[in-house]
Amino acid sequence: MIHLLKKALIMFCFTMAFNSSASASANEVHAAKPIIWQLWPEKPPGDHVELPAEYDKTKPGDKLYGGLPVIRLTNVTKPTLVIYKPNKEIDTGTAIIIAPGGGTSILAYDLEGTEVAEWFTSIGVTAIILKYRVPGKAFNKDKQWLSAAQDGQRAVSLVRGRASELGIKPAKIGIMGFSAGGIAVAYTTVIKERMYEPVDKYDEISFTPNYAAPIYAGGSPPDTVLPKETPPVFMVVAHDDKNMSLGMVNTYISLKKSGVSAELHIYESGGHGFGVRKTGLPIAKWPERMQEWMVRLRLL
Amino acid sequence: MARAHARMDGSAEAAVMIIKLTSEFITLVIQQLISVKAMMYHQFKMSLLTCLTLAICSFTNQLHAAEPIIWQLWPGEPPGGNVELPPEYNKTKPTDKLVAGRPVFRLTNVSKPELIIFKPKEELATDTALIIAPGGGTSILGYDLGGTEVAEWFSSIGVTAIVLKYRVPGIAFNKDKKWLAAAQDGQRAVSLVRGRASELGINPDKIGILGFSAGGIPLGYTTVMTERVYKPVDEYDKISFKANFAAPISTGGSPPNTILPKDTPPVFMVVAHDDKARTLGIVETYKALKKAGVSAELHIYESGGHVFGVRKTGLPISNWPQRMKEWMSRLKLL
Repeated sequence: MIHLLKKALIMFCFTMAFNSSASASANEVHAAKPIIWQLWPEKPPGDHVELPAEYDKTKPGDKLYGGLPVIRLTNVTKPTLVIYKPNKEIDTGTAIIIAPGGGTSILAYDLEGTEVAEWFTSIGVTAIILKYRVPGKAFNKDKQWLSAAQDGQRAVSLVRGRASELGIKPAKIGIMGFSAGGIAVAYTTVIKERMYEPVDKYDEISFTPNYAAPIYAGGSPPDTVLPKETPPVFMVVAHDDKNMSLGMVNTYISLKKSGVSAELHIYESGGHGFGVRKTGLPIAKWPERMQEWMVRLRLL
Repeated sequence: MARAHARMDGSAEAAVMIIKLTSEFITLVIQQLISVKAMMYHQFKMSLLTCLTLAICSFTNQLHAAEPIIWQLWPGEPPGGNVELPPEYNKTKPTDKLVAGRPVFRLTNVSKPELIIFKPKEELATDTALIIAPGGGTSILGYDLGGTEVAEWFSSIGVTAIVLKYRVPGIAFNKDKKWLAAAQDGQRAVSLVRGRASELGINPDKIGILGFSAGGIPLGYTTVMTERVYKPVDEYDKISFKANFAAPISTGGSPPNTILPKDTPPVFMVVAHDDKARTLGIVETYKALKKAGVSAELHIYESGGHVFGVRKTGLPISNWPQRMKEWMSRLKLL
């Protein structure tokens, strides 16, 4: 019995070592060469907008998250999909579109983009960063959410339309959004109206994702009625993130009342803007909760 | 299995020896008496071995389960006086629903409420205690599923685990208030454990309560209620019955717009999305806690139904004890 245990332990260590070295090298390769797709064939919906060049707004004294600075990208006028493929041996055929937060004025591009993508590729998911247009108000003065909503809807249609090129299943495309990334999530999961005039054949394809994960995103007002066909939803928020959890609880209640599959984790602490960084708090393990949920839903 | 290994002491090593010897014996017997194909023989031997291992593991667990400290909850009669009931018994019939492939011990006719106290091993012991109130709709106690198995888990992480064997069926004690016996026993339990904390080597300010389903009654009456629901019977009833932390699991929640006291202790909640409409009550509790500025954590898992205890059902929800452990560490209870 002890011998068996030892053997199992050795196997376990070996597997762990193998996995981590495999994913580390894979990530290096991926980080170096994501596939990049332009979101729109020509110009995005709305008037042409000229902005200074894209840049990282973060200054040396800015707040750290999990001990590290955050890339706060702004002046994104050419929205793109930045696609990271997992290693072939672990590729599940499932995809996730990741919408970073940043209050529609910037994109927390590493914290809520590339670092998250890296985590998902390590579990066999094709991770697609939605680099949507910011600052939103430069594109639509009175609707600063609109460019994020349009780019989100277009992203799902385009990824589904070109699924075979990525070796993914068109019925296993999810979307996740951090904070303001929740706009892209909401407009693809519960809104039915396309927020732009179709521009090509891809816009004939549904923009509703197959699963959704709003993470410390704003929720719904009380008594919102959500459609019964809303895809399964996975939510994470910290109890000490101002009133954010109350909005998410309202979303949860609406999902439950519509009979939609849902999971909600409200952790005692964590604040806002933790991404997948190891802060040492229990909430930092939320990606594992999502992995378990995805396994349960046969997405992995 | 991991827990079984962790518990391996002298008796378990003896058990391993027994397995080895018996294995050889089985081999001999089988070789002599049965002429079957090699593969089948191997499978047969392995399944016999598995049975034997399980039996011995549960035997070693029983050794631990056989040593709890037992405290009578009340010095004399419980509030409302003695109620004569037939002897306690396990209502479960062989055809009853299984949980994670095993039956549930459904204890009823509990007229003498007790605390069944499981101390952790000294090397693991923290000074935190947890009172565990099994569920069972106030008519029975899911005594293993929501009691001893949970106690075993918590004692394995260094917590003094105290099963609250409260009076059931509640209706036999208070016809129109079937919750009252559970509420009284719950309040008494916290006061008594706090009053006698030093005897257990626990910190009187680190006494929590966990309740499954109807076990939420003693939990509710020790966390958000301020009035003692019985007349004090001794010095222990001068001591606060308010728990220092609370964990309602698959319990009922609050009506909308409930106002909870600001001094409610930290709350950790788990419930399954597919447990009828139960989550809708729990989220109201959550909202009330949030609005009162009380520390809270809530895990609503996509599936799991109503009854899971700490059994390994294979669903993500069955990892909830890990979530609670992390939460307790965060709150410096571990």
